[in-house]
Amino acid sequence: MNCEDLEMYLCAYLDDELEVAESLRLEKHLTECRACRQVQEAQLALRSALRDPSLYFQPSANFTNRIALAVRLHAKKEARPESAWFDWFSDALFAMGFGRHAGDHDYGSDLADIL
Amino acid sequence: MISIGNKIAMDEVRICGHRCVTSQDRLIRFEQKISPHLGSAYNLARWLTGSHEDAEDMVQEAFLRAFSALDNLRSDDGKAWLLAIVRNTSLTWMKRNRTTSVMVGLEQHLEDSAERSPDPEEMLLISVNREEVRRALEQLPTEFREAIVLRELEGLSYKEIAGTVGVPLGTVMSRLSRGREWLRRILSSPREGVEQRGSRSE
Repeated sequence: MNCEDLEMYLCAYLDDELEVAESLRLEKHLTECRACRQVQEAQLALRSALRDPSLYFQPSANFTNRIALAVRLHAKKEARPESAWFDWFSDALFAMGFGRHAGDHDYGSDLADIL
Repeated sequence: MISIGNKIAMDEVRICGHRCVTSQDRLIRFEQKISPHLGSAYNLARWLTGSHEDAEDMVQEAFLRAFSALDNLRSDDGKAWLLAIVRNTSLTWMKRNRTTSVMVGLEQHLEDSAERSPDPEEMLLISVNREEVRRALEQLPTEFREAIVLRELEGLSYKEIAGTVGVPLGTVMSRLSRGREWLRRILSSPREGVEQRGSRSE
């Protein structure tokens, strides 16, 4: 492996995404080449700088709630066409003495709470 | 004895494979597989659009799309799947609003500087000042920035990035390698007010 190859493979090596045989060749080159060791050092410094938590954008709590609500409203809207006959059908079954979704969590009432 | 309602539900499952039977089932699955990745979705959208408001809009649109398309999620890996939707939503919006054109000049500048032979001493002059790292990453062309965000900030594997971005593994490898090399160069390049040669006395 020469210096040009190293530049190409170094990131994959540091990311643990390089195959064993290539990793060994790369490591061998690193022990022999001071300039490439400096490149490695610089890439390691960059890597740790990129993992600083301040670079990670966090959503606000308000936004998290807004999305949860939007998804549930969307779900309700999507469900409407099919649920009309299904509700009628299950109401009929219920009237005939068959239980529906016994023991299930009642998301319908969750939606009602939100709306 | 099985009730009629259950019989219908089971038929639907058998016919449609992974299909969620009711919107309530889908909501439960969505909350298990997708909702936990809201933070990742926002982070990616924020890095792509460069704006808090736009990122929120992109994430909301992506979440609703993801909900409607949830039956297409075959594996358990909701994160990479969601991030692909966030990415496509954001890039489509950015193309429509032409927010990517500002990158062209920088790309040329970086290509030019990449042709210089590397100076080993210069390589060590990496700034780890948070604000400078942030600005450097913001300056990268979108495809390199997204690869680095997906790898370094989101911890996705090369394979997952390839799936999310829709490019071969080799392209992921080369974008990450070039993107990091560019970052290193931006962070090593001379800054105003900093003495250059005389300051490197050790």
